[in-house]
Amino acid sequence: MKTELLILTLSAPLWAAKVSVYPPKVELFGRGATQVLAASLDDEDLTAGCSLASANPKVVSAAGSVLTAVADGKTSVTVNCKGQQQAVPVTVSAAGEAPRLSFVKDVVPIFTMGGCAGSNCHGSIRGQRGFKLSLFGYEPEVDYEAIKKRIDLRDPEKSLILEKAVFQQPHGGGFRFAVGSLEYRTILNWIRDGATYDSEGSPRIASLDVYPEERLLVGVGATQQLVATARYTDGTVRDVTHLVQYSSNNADVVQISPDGTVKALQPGETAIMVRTLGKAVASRIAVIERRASKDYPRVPRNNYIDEFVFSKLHRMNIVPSGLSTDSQFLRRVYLDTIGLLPTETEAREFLESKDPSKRAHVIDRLLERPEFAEMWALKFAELFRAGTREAGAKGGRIVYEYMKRSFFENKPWDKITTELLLSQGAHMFGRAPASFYNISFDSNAPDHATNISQVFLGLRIECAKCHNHPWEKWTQDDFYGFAAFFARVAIKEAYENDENTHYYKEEGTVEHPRTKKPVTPKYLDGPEEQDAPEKDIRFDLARWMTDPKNPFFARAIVNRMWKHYMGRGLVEEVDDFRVTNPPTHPALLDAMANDLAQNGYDLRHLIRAILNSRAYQLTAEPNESNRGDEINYSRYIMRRLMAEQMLDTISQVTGVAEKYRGYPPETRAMQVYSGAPHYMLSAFGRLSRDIICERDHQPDIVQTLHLISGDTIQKKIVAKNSTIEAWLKESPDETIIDRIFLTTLTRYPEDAERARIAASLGDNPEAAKRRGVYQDVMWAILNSREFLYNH
Amino acid sequence: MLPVPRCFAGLMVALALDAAPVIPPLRPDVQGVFPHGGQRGTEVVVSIKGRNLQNVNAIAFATPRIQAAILENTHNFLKARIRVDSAAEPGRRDFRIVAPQGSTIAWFEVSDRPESLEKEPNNSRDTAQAIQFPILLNGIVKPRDYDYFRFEARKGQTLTFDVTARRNNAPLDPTIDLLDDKGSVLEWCDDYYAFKDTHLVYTFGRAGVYFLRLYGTGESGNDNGDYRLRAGEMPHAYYAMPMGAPSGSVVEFRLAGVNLQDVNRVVLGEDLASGEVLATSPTSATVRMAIPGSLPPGRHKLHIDGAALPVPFVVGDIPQATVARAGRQLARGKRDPYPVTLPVVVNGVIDEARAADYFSFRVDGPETVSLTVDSMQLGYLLDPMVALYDEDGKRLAWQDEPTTNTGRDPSNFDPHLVFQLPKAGRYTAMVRDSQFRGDANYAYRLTLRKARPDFQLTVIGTDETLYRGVERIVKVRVRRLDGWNTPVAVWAENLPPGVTASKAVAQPEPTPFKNTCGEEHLMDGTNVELLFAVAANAEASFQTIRIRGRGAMEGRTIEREAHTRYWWRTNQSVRGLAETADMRVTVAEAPQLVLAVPARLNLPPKAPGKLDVVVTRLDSGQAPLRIEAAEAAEGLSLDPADVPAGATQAQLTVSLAREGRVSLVLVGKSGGKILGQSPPIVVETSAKGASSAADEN
Repeated sequence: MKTELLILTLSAPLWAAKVSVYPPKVELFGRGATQVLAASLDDEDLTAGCSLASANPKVVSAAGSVLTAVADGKTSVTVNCKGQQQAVPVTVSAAGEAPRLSFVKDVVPIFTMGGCAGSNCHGSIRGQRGFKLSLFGYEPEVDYEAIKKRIDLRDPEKSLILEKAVFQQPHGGGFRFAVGSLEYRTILNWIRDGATYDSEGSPRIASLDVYPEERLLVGVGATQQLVATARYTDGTVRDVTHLVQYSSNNADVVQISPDGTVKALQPGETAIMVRTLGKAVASRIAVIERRASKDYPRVPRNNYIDEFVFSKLHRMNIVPSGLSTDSQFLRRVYLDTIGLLPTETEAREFLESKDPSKRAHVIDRLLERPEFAEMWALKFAELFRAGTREAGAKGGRIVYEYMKRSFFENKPWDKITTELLLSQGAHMFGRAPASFYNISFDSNAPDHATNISQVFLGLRIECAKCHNHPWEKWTQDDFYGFAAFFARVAIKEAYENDENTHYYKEEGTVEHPRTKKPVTPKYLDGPEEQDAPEKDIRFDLARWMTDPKNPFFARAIVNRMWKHYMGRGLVEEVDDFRVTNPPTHPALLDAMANDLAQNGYDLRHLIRAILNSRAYQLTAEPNESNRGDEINYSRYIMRRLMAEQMLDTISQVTGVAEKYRGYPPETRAMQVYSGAPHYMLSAFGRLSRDIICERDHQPDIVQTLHLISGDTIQKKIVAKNSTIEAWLKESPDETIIDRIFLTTLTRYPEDAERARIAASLGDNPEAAKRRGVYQDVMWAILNSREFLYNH
Repeated sequence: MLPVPRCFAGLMVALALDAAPVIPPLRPDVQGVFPHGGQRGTEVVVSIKGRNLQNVNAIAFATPRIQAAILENTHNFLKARIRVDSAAEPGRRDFRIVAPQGSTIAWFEVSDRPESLEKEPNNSRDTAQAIQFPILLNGIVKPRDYDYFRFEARKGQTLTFDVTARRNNAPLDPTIDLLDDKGSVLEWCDDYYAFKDTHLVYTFGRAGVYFLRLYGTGESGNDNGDYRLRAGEMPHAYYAMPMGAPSGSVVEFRLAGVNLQDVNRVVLGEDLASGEVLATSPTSATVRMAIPGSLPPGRHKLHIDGAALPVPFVVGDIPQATVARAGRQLARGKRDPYPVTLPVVVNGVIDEARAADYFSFRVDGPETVSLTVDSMQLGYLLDPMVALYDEDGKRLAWQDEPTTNTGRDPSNFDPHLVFQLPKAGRYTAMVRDSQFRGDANYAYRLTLRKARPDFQLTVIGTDETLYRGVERIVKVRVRRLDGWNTPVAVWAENLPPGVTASKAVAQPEPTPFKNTCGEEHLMDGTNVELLFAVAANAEASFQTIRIRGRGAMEGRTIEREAHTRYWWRTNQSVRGLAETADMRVTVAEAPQLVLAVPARLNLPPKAPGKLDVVVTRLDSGQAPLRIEAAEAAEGLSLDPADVPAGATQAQLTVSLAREGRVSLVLVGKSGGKILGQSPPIVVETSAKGASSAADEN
């Protein structure tokens, strides 16, 4: 070993980067056991260009990038790459034994790898042609029952399971593997051995890892060898690179071969999903054309968020857009933070201010405004589906006002969450959000588990209610274990006028639909929790959820906040965290989650950090470098105003309030906590709250037509109490033009705009004509993208 | 948008099946009273709106200290002058509207302060009505109506705003918003009391002009949606602690609330006793009061001079303890329970979320004990539950509510747990809110004693009309207490001449029922039915009857009288005991025909509309019934309809040739004989098109 190290040291230039090999040591168990070795230098995969040399071919042989066990013993394999040599220790054991083939470890993965156990084939809910496999092999015992009906012990080669796979019999799924292939031989030998199911207590897969977890490929055609490793419940480890199924989340960016070789096709980012035996992991792959040159600009950092964002942009060789103008920033931060535009006075003061800290100051002021609290109250009321059941608008208002008060007081997120989890009481009375759990007719625990995991943990586990999660690791046991925390959350009628109340009843369990037995509460990815009489187990749940070590809680709210202000979640969809849907900036997500938890779950602290970052304050205008970038925050992501922002700002700038059915006059759309049917709000994406759902901000023709020819804008512009009427009475033309632009677009008109309006006004002092011109200008602006979008 | 009950559909089906009457009610139906109260020592002219008011011949209060005279009345309107004696006890008082076809009960609030009226227009901040405190203001909120009130407040001033509407059976679900001078909502309240009325206490952070906005939740409202707004820097007490006292004792109690610093007079009931105020602070007042020995056990009210509302006070007959002291709670530890000796009434407050009070007691041998909590029935919103533990802390028994809500029967959410303790030893009783809530006014009285089997009788409804030759069933609920387990015989007495009533026996088996969700439950009592039969020649009469029950257990024979309970029209539910226990019965001639029609019919201009009529025919005739206009109003045309025997619905075509409104009365004839006529219908043309309104005037 010393000699090998010496060789490595001497052969490598002192200044050269070191080639790394994965895995750094190899353990092979059983006759013919194999291991793929992957070598890389920085981001460059060298596997294909490396040669392997076994120090003792009688123990282990090397061919290509694969080592194969020959005999028991210890030796090493030297990896020769780029003039460097790396020694990898190898241990071979039980090579003399032909290990009895395991149905679980050897046979089931073949059906996953071959795509047979996928959701569009035999792994679907109904299976295919009467042959039903569990999704990605998560229930081997079920698979065994299905497969054993399709084998012939007397004539194994005639087994239907083989003949279909090799297409010797008609097969809707076509050819899966060849006669004589490793897959074929494995199944055939297993049948010849008696086609038995594994004995009780035989090892099961415990985890699946993929190497590398993240890789940057430089240049189209660059490759990367993936290595998949399974760890079993008996502690053994096995290279399953050839036994897993690979798929690319974006096949336009990279291609993945069945042996785990990734090939770059075009610049972009994606993930390769790796699945077997009900386990799934992902390798994040980014492709760039070329590395950043020395001319890459130095981008200033305002805080740690910028460090993460701009470092990645540098790595991806994407140059961010420049800093937004004061006008762009002010309009943007007002809309994003309070849902309104700055007033004319606020705009003038900000634009004229020379204070270098004026952006930070305005952010601080906005976070103190009640409208900030109202915006988040509405967003959460929608997520909580407040007001949708019999508590109606009354219950909806209580939930909304609770969230509004909480945000206004800057109540920590862990405290809000705990209060909501523990909420109970009459739905329509008091100030506590008693109708938080009022989302299903019978207040059932599975519904609560679904909603709470999605909203607070960013996990969509609902699929596991009926079957193990198709894309993730969650099983039915996980789902019902989590649901059991809500087994005693119940609804009853209280008082004498048919009022309903939620309460924590004295007894109650959740029954597992498969076993028909009561389920013990169990944390997601965590241990069980024992329930007991007079114990409110939701306290324990709240403690677990809000613990800074909880892997989901802080990240989920960080991602939600990030998406609101930055236009795209670090994880998309915002509530769909899963291994196979990795974040674009995992380190940034971790850093912000950690920052939030370390600062007492102070949401304003988090929001302040985001808003003060240069990343937030970039202009929305793309440059040549970042035009194609959609996910790295290299510019501000333009988006259409949400329905309430749009209606409130139209009302704000025209000076004519909208009236909402059931709500007092002067109510803004952002204060409409539930109900109040309104065409424009619905057309622009307000949700019905039937399910937890994110809003669609995409524009469509209905919206466009409503803005152009609907009565919302037109009525307000021509109203007798409009701002234009007020301005006409008190201001000269020059001032009115400025006022229109400042109130709607937070900027002064450009010379060309000013000239064109002046030309329309002409020298005609007639009030009616002037009024008409200003109304036209206002109409045009309110229908412009510059007004309708935040940018 | 009004909330819809969780199991609304089930409720409606249950009501439809259960409430289908043989004869539609023809007795007076009160839909609105305005103003709904008046200051004692004054006269008030009150407008009553409803139906079948044209023949009302008397208005009778339960107390002789309030007298009423009818000034005018039509089918849907009655005006009366009400004179309130200066010694009348403040609070809500029952009065009956009596007519030959039956009587009905309604409410009038006696106050001890000057009253004023809302002044329209006051629908915006610009037109807000200026008010000064203290104030008791009567107003009406119609659909989409907003009442704005402008007032000034000092920095640090604490004002109380209390709105009574549903508690007086007014069809208004009120909400109040407190606005600053720019219109921003500072605070709000929708439902505070169980019947959705509002109550808000607010301390102002700065001096200035403010607005109170009062409206129907979700812009609901009603032409009869009256409210009484009490507002000001007035004393407001949550409770007296202890909440009662044995008769003949001298008790020192503490009032807890806001603005109590100037309390100088506290009176029990209708001048039953007067208290000496010993000490006051903004949040409490200590009062000493001698409870007359002549007072039988029962519930009373403590009236605090100038206060928004009275607080309940119970005169009892067993010793009591108080664990809610000023700034201290004495019974909060399960491991260190508050020791009591049976029998005892403990007075406490669950003032914090997740709090519970624990009491330890000893029995010298096997013993059946009862734990009874009075809270919700005293008007508090605590939803109490009790539990019983042995010396090792093991829970032996618990109870939330004895009976869940049936949707129409008197429910009871205050627990009444009876448990047989197996051996001598020390035990612990616990009281908490079943929803783990806590509030400064979640007061309770826990009665802890050896079981003393007994029963109670209640009747739903306070007034019945008995028609000659027609049978009528009256339901009586027997509620067994403290382990009563023998039959109870139930009968009616003091019946009018020509009226007989069956007897019934309530076996000690709870009556099963389905709640509004269709779930099976058991009542904490037994319902029995008394069948009233009226002779064909019984004289018309109006008198008080009594319903009584008798049972024997463990060598004791007990006889009790049934107490009537209100039937609330606004929410089709039962609430509380009537001011007097007895039931009023009217014996009347049965109608031959009842034509049920909408109160109003809106027609599109110059176009016909449809008028739906529900026909209840009681003459046993087989000839068709012709329905036509009793007399032709100018411009009104109506196509008569012939209704076959057995049919229960008819639709008539109506048109009005001119703009405006006319009154239409339908008449039903068969075999050339007039069988009956409808109440008047207001027919008017409306640009909105055809519609009808059943419950409006």
